[in-house]
Amino acid sequence: MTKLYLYIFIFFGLNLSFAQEKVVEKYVKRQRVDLGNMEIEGEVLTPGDLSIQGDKRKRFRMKLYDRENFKFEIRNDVLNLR
Amino acid sequence: MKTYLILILFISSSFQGYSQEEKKEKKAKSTTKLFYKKAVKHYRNKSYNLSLYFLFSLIKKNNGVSKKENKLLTRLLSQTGTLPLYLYDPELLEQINNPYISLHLANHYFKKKDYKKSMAYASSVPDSNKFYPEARLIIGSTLQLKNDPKFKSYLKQCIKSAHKKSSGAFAKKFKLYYDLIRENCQINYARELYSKDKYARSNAIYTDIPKTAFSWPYLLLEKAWNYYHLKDYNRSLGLLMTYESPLLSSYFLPEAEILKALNYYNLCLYNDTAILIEKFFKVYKQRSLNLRSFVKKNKDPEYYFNFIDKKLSNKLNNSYVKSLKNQLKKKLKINLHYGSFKKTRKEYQRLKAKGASKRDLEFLEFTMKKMKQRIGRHVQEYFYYFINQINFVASEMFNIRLEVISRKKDLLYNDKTLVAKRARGSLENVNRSADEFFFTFKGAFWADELGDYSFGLKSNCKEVDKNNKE
Repeated sequence: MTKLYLYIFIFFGLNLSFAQEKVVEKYVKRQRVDLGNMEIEGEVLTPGDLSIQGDKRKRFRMKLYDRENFKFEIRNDVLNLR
Repeated sequence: MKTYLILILFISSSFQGYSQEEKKEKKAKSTTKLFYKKAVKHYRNKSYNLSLYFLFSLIKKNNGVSKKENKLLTRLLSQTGTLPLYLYDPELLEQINNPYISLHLANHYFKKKDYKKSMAYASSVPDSNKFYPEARLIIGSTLQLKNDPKFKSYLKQCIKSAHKKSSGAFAKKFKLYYDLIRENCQINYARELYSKDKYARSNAIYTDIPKTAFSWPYLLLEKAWNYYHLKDYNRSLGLLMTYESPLLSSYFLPEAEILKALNYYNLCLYNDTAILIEKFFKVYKQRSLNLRSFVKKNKDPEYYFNFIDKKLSNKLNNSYVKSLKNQLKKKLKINLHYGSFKKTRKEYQRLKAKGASKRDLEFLEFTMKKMKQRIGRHVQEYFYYFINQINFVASEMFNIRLEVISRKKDLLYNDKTLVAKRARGSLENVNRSADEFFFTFKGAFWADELGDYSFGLKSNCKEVDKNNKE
């Protein structure tokens, strides 16, 4: 009988040790920030001449017509003989 | 006894066979004689096409040609020209060793791009023959197309022989023919120099060709290309402006419009380029569309033959049609072939009036029909070529227009402008070499200066700040 009480005690003891405590988080409903009073710490730097690099515009030139030879005319002249 | 009988039977049968062969031979000889007789008879009656028909029937039957027949063939072809040869099978013609036939076959295979055969037939024309310069031109041109440097010697032979034959020719038409062949050979030299970037030397050869030459109007464009590459845009524009003169109004060459636009573009005269392109799309494109619809409607080659043979009706008052007709009438091929056709028509009319046999008349009708088709097809091809040219020029003009817009946009983005809105002409901007004319217009005939025009436009390519300008 004592053994049975011991087992029951161990079983319930283990159950209690695994059970987690329930955490309830509470948020502030309203928060007021005064931006006027805020201060930013740092140093203001003006960019020098060399620091600005404008992107060079790429020029796409179209290949315009150019006569390479007069082979068509050479053939045509013979075809126009007879 | 039995053996004797068999022997007699065998001998008699063999004699019978021999006599049958003899009969056939006799018959063949008699038809050969008949054909030849008929050919001679028609030749004497000046019915050259009919005579040619009987002579070719004879050659086909005999699978060859005798010396006597060949002589007759030469006489006949000197009267008919080479146009009737298109009626006969080239395989039959290949059996005949005759300069007229060789020249015809050289042209036939050149057209088919069988250059090996074309050169072989052209080479068989002896130097004593009247067609020698033309045959040399065919060989020279073929080698030039194949980038073979040997072409030079053939062109030299062509120029030399054509010059010699021209000075010895009594008839004006022969003189014109030899001059045309010589000019063609000279022009091919100039074209070769152009392809090798030797523009100044090329121009010197073009300048040698007289303004009275048939090919001269076409050379203006080629010469203008030389000046364009030499960066003498003013001279190039001046040459192209020659086409605007009343004497050359029938020579509308679409490619000249591209070159004009390119010249203005390279002088940075963007507004002038844009105006020229606009004019092209407004005027010429519409006219070419009309021509295209007309060509689509009429596909019968005989219809196109009438352009050469008859006066243009009022319905065809398209300026391109007029221009093409005038250009075609000055082509050697059309002149020779149309001359052959007219002779055949006369032959037909004469025989019809005499009451010739139905068979003979039908043959001549057939010959005329084939001749009409051949000439008409050539006219038709020329029309198609012209329409294709217009389409090609339109696409190139569009590219130039895009470039002009792009350049103008660049100026705007960079806050710049060109030095002048419109560069005015000045004599200071005209370049002139020692062999180029300068007309003071004192006692000169107004057409003398054709082909010697030059613009005096200043290059507008200098960019300046917009603010400075204002």
